[in-house]
Amino acid sequence: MIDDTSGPLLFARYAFPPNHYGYCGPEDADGFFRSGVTGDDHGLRARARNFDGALPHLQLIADAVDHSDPADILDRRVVEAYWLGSAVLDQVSADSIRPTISAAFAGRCGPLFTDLAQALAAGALPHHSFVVFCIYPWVSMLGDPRRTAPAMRVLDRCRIRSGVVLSIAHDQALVESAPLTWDEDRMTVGPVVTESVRTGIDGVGLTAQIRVGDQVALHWDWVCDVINDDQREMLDRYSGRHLALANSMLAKRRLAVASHG
Amino acid sequence: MCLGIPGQVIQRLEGYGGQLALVDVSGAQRKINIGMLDLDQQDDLAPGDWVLIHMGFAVERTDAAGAEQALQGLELMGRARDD
Repeated sequence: MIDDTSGPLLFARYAFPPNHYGYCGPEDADGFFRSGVTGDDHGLRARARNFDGALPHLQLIADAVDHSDPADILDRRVVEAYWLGSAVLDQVSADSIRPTISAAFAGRCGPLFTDLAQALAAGALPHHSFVVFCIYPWVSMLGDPRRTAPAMRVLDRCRIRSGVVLSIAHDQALVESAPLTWDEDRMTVGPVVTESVRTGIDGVGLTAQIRVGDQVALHWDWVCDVINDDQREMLDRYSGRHLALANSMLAKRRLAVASHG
Repeated sequence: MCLGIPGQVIQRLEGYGGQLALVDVSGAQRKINIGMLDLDQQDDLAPGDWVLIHMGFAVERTDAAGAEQALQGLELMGRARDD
């Protein structure tokens, strides 16, 4: 469980899945995994600095909750707030979010990227779901017949989502989870389905022991951690906030297209 | 999770409807899907061309200058956190 897990290891549990697939983070995913398995916090901290997309958000949260100098971006409270969400996020002032996020990302948001300034003005917080739904390019592809299905697949897998474990066998677990759906206008969390996810490699994983009936956090097709009801509520709350922001941006885009069409 | 990373096309690959390419990303070879690019941009994608890659997909064609700018953006974020 999260309670006795170090901040660097907690970060690794959530960051490893996309790193494993080569989407981001350090080149040596195997080394990242080994550092997590062996509890090598020094190695985890060094490799965590390669997750460029997460760092500005971690820094914002750390500056709000950790008053040491420099603030620890891998403090466990910071890491949990970024991936799952917590009341800590509400301590981050909008005055600090806008300039920091704009400086880090605005110059890199080309025409494919969503309107970042709009999301910031509407109350975005430094949570992983903000990155997925409001900074990355995938939401802006929705509605394009050729791109919508793969974009929805990426958005669903890239967000942190919850599930309940039905069975476990050989580095795999069967879980019930609710995927994102697209109704031609907006994204919603759809009905529960059953999916197979990974728990480790050759019997070894970064996550504490998982049992049937556990509630878990998922990233791509991996189990990240066992979470409790409060943590799932936080995940739903902050993910829902940024999902609503993304849907609002899509609605404004439709209006703009209609008014010009 | 991360922002677009520049990659230079090494070769187009067979299969998957012609939507796969092998690219060089900072010295590492990666297989990517080019199916999210505009169709005309897919058709003439050739060895030496640059793309911005996100989650295993090429999401934008760019040129050497654009690739350099994207790399500098990543490095700038790294420097900012070291300050």
